[in-house]
Amino acid sequence: MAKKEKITASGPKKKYGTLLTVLFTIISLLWISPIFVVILNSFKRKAYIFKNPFGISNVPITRGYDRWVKGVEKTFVGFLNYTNAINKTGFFKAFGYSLFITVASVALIVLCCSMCAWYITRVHNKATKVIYLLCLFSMIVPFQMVMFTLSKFANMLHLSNPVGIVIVYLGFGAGLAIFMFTGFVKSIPLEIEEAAMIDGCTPIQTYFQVVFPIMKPTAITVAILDAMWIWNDYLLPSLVLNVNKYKTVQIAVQNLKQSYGQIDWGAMMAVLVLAIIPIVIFYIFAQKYIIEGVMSGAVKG
Amino acid sequence: MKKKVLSMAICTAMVAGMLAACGGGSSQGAAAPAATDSGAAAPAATANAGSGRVYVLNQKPESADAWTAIAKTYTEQTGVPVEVKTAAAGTYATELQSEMAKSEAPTIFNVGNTSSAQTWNDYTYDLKDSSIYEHLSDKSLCIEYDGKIASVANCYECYGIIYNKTIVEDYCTMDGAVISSPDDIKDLDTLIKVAEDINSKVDAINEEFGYELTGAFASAGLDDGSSWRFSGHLANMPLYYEFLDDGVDPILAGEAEIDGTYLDNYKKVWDLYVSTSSADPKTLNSGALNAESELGMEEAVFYQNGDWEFAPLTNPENGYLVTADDLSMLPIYFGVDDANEGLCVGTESMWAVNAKASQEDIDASLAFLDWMITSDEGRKCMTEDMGLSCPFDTFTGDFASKNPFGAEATELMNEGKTSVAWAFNATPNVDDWRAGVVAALTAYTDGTGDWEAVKTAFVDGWAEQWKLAEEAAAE
Amino acid sequence: MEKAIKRYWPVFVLPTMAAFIIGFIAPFIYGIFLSFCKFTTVVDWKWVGIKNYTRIFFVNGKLDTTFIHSLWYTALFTVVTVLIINVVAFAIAMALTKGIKGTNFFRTSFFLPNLIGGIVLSYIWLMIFNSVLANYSKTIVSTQWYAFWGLVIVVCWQQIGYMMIIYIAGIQNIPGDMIEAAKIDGANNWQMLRDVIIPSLMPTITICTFLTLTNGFKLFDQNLALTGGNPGKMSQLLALNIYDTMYGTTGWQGVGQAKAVIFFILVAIISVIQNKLTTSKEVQA
Repeated sequence: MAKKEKITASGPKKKYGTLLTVLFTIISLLWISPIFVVILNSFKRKAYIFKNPFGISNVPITRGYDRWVKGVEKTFVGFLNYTNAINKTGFFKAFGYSLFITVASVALIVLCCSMCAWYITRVHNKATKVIYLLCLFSMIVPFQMVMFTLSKFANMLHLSNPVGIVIVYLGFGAGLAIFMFTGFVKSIPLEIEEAAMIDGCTPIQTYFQVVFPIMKPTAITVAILDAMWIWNDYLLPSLVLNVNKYKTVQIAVQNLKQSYGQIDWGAMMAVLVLAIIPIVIFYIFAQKYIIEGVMSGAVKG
Repeated sequence: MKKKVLSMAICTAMVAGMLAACGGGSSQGAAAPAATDSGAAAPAATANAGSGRVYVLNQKPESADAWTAIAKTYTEQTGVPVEVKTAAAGTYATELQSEMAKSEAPTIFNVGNTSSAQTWNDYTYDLKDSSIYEHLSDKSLCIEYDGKIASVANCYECYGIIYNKTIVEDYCTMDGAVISSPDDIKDLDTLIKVAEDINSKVDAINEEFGYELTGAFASAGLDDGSSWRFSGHLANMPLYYEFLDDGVDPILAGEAEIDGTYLDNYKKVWDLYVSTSSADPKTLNSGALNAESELGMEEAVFYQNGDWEFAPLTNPENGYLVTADDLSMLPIYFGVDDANEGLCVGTESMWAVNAKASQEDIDASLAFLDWMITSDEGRKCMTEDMGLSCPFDTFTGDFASKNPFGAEATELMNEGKTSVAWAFNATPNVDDWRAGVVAALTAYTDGTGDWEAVKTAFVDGWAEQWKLAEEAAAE
Repeated sequence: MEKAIKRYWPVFVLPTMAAFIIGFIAPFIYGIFLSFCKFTTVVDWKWVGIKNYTRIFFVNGKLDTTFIHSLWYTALFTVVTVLIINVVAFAIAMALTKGIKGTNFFRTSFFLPNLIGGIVLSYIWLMIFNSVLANYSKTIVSTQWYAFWGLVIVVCWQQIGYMMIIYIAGIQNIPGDMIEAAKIDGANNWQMLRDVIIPSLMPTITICTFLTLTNGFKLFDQNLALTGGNPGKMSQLLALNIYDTMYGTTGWQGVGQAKAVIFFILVAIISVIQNKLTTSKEVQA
């Protein structure tokens, strides 16, 4: 902190700082401008999206204000694209499935993997060592390696539904989560747990009353990283889920393209906006945790 | 130490159990859906139902709900349990493979083309004496293989060149129009003349009749969502005529090597599509174009596609300007036998009955299919809920196709024209072959490649993929 | 204590391990096995030995270059994205640790694209690319190079923010007295960067390099949604090429699985190198 003050306090640096502020304001607005372009186009008739993606009228203003306004009227379709998109993709249902799958998977991963990590760190034998090494190993295996067999096994075990896929996510996400949790457990002094055990706590009580609360920072990191992964995952759910019945948001978006026909770009713009808005809202509220999660995740990963 | 061994043993046992589940535990998979359906069946069980069971493996995700509903109705009426399972889009072949391996295998499944009939030859029950074959109004709409009627079409679709009749009629009233009525378009050369003339007069037509035309033909998009119209449907034309010349019988069987005899005609039609459309030939693969909307918004007059386009074009939710009365369909005139050519009529949706099922199940399945095409509930389900045009003589009156394009196909047939069969159903490794043709066609159209490359992709690609497919099937 | 805990393995370990076996171990082992089989579903396999592996490269007795093409296309793509992402992310991180006004807002904006999934992200850019390129009679899939740079832009947009955050964490961890000492020694900005900041950031740089490296190698969603491998499979990165082989053509699942094994080996090699480098760096530090 002291360092920062020193830098900003000196005279010439301040001018330099204002310049940087202006420069970065421009850059960062440009950086997120694609999102605004999509929002703008989501209100336009699909035929006009590609004709003038950055304007709101199909007639340039140089050709007179009246014609320009007429152009706007012709281009603007209100919420038509949104109703189309919601009907075509079943967006709200897809959103519900995505939300359920993400929340349930993350909760399960955090709970089960932290327990597993604690156990394999505290119990030293060959089995726990093997588990740890397998977890490390699973982190370097790309999904393509298991995608075919995993999706077929999931299908056979009746996991092709939003509840079943949670188990698949636990299995495929266990490697990284256990790795991160074990890294943290190693730093927890044994004395605390021993004290609890001496007080008569069973290992389960010890774990939930003593260990898990200490692990909270890592749990948040794991939760953030896995939530980002699962919410945005396309390939795994598209292969594992019975996509006739259950679509996640990513699948719904991609399906707009895959049906036999050309993309309805109006509906596409609308569904993109619908997909982005919840993320932005979540980001605004959980920004601190997300950024910290990414920072500490990287240091350990 | 003991515990350690135990936990390892359990892990091993689990792996082993899982692998076993993959090998033999399939009964569990088939039993579950059966249980849900038989629940409804049990109380209504009647004597004539016998012990037969029906299991439909449905191919079309869009009609999954209709199938489930009609299965329930049938079970309520007859007590015969009917299960329906719908494969996810694009997974029918693999789904069928895994379901057939189970003890409670599907009794009714889809065999849509000859290569599939070849694969499933041991499983297809000869439908020669069945009610569905008897009622089939166009006997070519079935697959004959190995001396058997392997499968019978349950619907048919047609495609050609959809056009806006009203605009063409308006155009005909203009001075210097090359035709006097849309009915004058009876061959490729006339179509070219008309399209070129309309294309050169779009401003005058817009001025006089208040349309928003930008070109005669709707854009010929070469993106994934549209390229199949040309690598599949248009490519059918040269394939069909070549197979006809070579005496391929049945025509849907195809042949291992093709010469591309009619590729010059293919080029002529393709050039027509591109040159009389307002789309930039260099950006046809952008995915930004939407040919349906161009026809719908009266920006284009002609649009090669099928009868399934009728619903989206006239659906008020899409907000298009065209109405049902504006729409009509022309055959894809190809300059070969235009005088006798009808629309391209065919289907890949065909019922086959599992010959390896027990006799009771086979009888129950045949009875169910008969009920589907003769009872009011079954027919209503097929025409209204599934929206199909059905090729059975029982579908008259209220159950006749309500799709005007389908009606057009019938009309042309009645005039004595020959419907063009879906020869492209014989395409080996469809996706790969089409990808090659589309890539070459794209390069040709945007000026970076030549027509020779299209020919190579079409002809050599066909032979190569055919060989690969044979090889894959042989092992 | 260890003894007391040990008995509780069914509670602590079993659920995770059961899922781990279903979700990873069994599919992995069975996947390797199937790469030596011809199969259409997991139950009807037939042993074919290494035929699937030779078929990756030789088809009908001819050399098939699609896999090799996607291999070097992926390699090139990975190198380019690793360079751009890291250099830009580092530069932004440097600027955003100077304490300029609005840092929080800038950081937020740069990171935002990372939260949007690859599929959604790609359609945003597909629309923008194609409407801009239309003015020049081009599309994002006009040639494999348009597709290439399109993918590079999308991936940079997505990942720069993420790497920036990691670099910021790294820079903030550099002890202030090191910088002060360098200042007193009269080091200019360039010397400071070269002699103080970059050396002490080496662990961070290694992490970011390998994160971007594996991300580039494993890229799928963006490839599928933005270019779909077009034109004519020329812009297929490895992951999409495998997917296409596995699900695109019946009878080729075995070849797809064999490609996946090769893919796994490549990724594993990269990861092992990373591991070697990071551990050796840690030893030094």
